[in-house]
Amino acid sequence: MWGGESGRPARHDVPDAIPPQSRMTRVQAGAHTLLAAGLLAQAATGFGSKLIYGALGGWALLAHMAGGGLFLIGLTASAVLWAERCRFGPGGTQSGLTPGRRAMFWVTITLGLVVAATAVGAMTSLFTPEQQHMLIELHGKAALALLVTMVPHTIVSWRARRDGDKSG
Amino acid sequence: MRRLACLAAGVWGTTALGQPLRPPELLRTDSRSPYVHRLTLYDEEGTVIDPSGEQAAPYSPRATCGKCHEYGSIARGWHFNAGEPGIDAGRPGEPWIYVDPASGTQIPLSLRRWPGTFTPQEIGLSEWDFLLRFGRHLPGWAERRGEEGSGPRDRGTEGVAGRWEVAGRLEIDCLLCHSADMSHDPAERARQIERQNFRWAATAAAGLGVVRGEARRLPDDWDPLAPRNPDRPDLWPPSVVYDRSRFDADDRVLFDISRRPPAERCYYCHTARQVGPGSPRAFEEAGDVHLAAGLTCTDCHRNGIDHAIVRGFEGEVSTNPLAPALTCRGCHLGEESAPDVPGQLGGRLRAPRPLHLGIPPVHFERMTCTACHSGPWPQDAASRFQTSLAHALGTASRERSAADPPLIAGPVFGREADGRIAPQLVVWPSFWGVQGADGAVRPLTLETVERVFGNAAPPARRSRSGGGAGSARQADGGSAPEGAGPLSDEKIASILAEFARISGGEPVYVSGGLLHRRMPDGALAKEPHAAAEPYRWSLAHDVRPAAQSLGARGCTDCHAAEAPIFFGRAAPRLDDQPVAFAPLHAVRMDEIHGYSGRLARAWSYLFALRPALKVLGLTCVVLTALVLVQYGWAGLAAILRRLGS
Repeated sequence: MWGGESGRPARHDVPDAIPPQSRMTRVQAGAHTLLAAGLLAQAATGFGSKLIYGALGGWALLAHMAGGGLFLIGLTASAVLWAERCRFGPGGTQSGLTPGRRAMFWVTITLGLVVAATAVGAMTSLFTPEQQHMLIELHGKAALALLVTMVPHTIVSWRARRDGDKSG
Repeated sequence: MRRLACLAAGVWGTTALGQPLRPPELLRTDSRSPYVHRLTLYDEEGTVIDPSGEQAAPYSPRATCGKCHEYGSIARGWHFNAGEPGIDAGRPGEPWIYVDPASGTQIPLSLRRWPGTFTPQEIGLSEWDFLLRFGRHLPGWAERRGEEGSGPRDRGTEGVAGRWEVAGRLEIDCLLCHSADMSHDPAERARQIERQNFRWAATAAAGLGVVRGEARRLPDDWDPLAPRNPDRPDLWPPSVVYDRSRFDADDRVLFDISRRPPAERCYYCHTARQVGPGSPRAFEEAGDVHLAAGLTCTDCHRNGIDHAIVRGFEGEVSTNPLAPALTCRGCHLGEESAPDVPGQLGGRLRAPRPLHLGIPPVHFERMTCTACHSGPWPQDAASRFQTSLAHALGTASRERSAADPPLIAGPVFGREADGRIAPQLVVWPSFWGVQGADGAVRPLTLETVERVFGNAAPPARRSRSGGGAGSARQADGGSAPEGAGPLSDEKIASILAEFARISGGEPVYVSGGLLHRRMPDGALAKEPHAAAEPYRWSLAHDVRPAAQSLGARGCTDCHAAEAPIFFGRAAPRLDDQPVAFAPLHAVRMDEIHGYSGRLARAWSYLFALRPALKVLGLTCVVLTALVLVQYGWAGLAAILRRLGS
């Protein structure tokens, strides 16, 4: 879904227009779905709780913590499975994805890493409460940025699928 | 603060023209070296005491110490100002507890009107009787009350007004706290109060002499100015036989005074000990970590001459400028609201700065420092506690046992006014009352209760004839025999019927966490009610070492399926037989502090998976980072190549 042909090919010639390596496999689709589902669940519990109650706590925090695993697995799987298709450099163009959409992938993965690392870091015994507070602040901001990044990505992907692009 | 000595120039009062004098010029040493208190003694009239005199008067702390120290200001300090108007009651503290096992009464009292307590007046306890019961642990009685004669609420009480004249003022005994000489005997003071020898109590406690006689044997109409009748020595007032060896050639006495009294002085009134099965014996107690580090109580609980002593909790409203800084957080972490930079930085008295590595910040927002660091290590059930105020600790007794009422339980985890969870001591109120139309319950007076229970003598007169301060078990209503149980339902129902006959309103009995009501068919109904909620006060000491704090073994000290902080019983685990004043149903800690038990249990399950979640998280982060590094490097190289070409 980070993929898609540059330009807008005609609907009837899509299968022939996409190189074989640019097609999204089921595993890749699964990883992406996992990441999207994890992100939405975490956003709902995290930002939703903050919006409604003013703070993240109680059952919402429990759900947020428990759902973190889903997001982590989705993020890692997406990074591993999509990296080759979204690479820059030699062979990067063979995926059929535009540089902008590949860049979007890397921004997403980078922000996701910040979100994951700050959450996991705060669970270790390495940081003082003040440092953890900063980590949690960073966690929230990176998560918000990640959510914002997903908006144009979703729009572009939706439009690509609407136009018959099966690359992602 | 360094007003340690003065000359006769410092005279309170007014000039001959009736104009108020400016505050007396007090001699000061202004040195950190203590002033040697070699003092002439004065009686309460301000007359120099001749220790050789046959009818030498007892010394008056007010007149003697007040020569140089502003007694009036001291009398408004925290230890003496309960009931004064305009005083912030602050965080609920330990109440006085009136106990009468025979009538099933265990009721927390406070002149500060802490929520959940009643004033002595509300239960019909006169100030006179209050002093006789609890004076043993009162450092003095503010001058507007007992010291000026009869207390305002006692004026109309038959026989009581005259007793103040007989007993004298119960002045603030400065030595009770400030004596560095451990020969000062607060228990002797308690005995003198029991004998109604109020004005002689300080002299006897200081060991300046021996007090002969008991004011309680004197009649209400005793005339202090009347000459002694040699034929009626039983009507002679108490007398003092001074110990001449305590006086120098100029009849001055050396007082070993400390502005930094040892903790043992404070412990006379502020001991709280765990009793019952599993409790440590005296030699097994570790004590407070601060004392072990060489501090004493007044290093943190400081005050100036106004005796506005810092209580030491966050958010304390006090005239003492040190109050914001002299809290756990203030000393160990620094307090932003402290008036000076050192206070903001923390580290006072070499307080170590804790790192609290890995502890989520939410713990510091929702729990007090003491939750993890203070009191005995939490068990599956709270323990019985005994305190100086409630159980007359510090006075000698051969009969004191762990089963003595009142029943105080701890540590119980409850919420403070700011919503944070803290270890606390609790007492379940137990009293006879009347429920008004608004649903509120007000207690019946002791006299009414005693009338129904067959004791016709009103409490004030009964106390005058004995059972005073020193004999704490009697003074507090006696002790329950071992294994004494609560009143039976039948007994409660019959007593309620009797109260319905003699008093207006609907009589109820509050006990064991429930309100008891007699139904029209004679059956007893029990229901929860706000008046039956336990009264709680925070337990700050003893502070355990950091290595023994909750969480030292990991998150599962609290986030486990049976963790005491959530699932422990809030009442002592008693034998199978019911015990008086215990809650009638098992109360768990989460019911006290209100944090959802189901949520706590869910957290405990999640925390069982936490190590696996950490491994998963770290693995995912490392893998994702490797991907980013590998492809990021390749991408960067490609961009650089393109730029180069």
